[in-house]
Amino acid sequence: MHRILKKIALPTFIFFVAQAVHAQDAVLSQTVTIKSLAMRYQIEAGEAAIGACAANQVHATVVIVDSAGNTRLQMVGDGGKYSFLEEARRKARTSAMMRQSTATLQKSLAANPAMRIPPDTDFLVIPGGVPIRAGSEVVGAIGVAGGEPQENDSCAQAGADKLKELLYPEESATTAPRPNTQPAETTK
Amino acid sequence: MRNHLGQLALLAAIVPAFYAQAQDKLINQKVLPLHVEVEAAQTAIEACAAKHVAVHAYVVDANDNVKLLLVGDGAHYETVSGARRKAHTAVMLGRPTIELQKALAANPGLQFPADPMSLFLGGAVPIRAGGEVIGALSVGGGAPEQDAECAQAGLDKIQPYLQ
Repeated sequence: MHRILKKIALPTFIFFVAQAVHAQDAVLSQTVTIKSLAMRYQIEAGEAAIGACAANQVHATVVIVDSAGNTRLQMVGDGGKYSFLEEARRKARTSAMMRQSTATLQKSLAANPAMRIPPDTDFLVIPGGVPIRAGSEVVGAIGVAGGEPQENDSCAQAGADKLKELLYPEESATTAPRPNTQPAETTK
Repeated sequence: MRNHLGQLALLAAIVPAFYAQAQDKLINQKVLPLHVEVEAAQTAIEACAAKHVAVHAYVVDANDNVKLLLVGDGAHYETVSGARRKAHTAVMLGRPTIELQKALAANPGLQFPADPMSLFLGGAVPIRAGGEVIGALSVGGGAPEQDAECAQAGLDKIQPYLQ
């Protein structure tokens, strides 16, 4: 009996070590890559959104989140209010989670009140949140607060448009400028 | 002529008094414009990135309101609250937190206000304009000494605007 145990012990040990090594290998090789915006582009987008609002005499507060809803940038424009940070963050988060602008989401909800949205206390379905896309992938969202909902929406859109311009310069040159962007840029 | 002088003297007495009264009722507070804050925070983050340390940076005003938060490429968000607390400490006590950390290490019995928000680790520097604290720049994500160096680099960059 003792002999049999001795014979089995080594192979069993090797088997478990091999399993453990294999499991670790598997864990190491199975990774998922999530894209997020480089900081300097986030700054550009934030400043573009605040600038678009300032051109309409609106003092905006901006939050940019990544695709998971983590805050990556907070900006209080000159004359803007700190108290709007929470509203801006929640709009950005809602937009990143739902992969669409909060303005669109509000319209769909109005058209279909039975539509289910996640029971997330952070959700805020008021215009002002716009997703940031790299190709078809949502890599984050911009949330703007401080003005009227429609103003906030157009400022956030201006920030997203600025990013599109920086990320895909060729495409942006061919598409028609949006009516809500800054006049100085649209006349060029 | 003499009458005029008298009137002038009266005016000279009243006008400053009037302005002094207006000043008593309204308080002017200096605030940094956003683009200067962005320059400071970005410089600090890039100074750390040059040393392969990924950090995030906060800029708060004199009342400890967050004006700006930037998360550097590859920096963690989990530690953001630490930088937030360092900013609070620097703006409250008006001294770089690395100095406070060293002072505490040298003299562990040192008494500071019992404030749960305080964090006596290097990384935050007060921003002063003409001796007055108008805010703080706080860096987090690296070792306290590294954070402190990067925050100082950010502050040095905007120093010319703070005369």
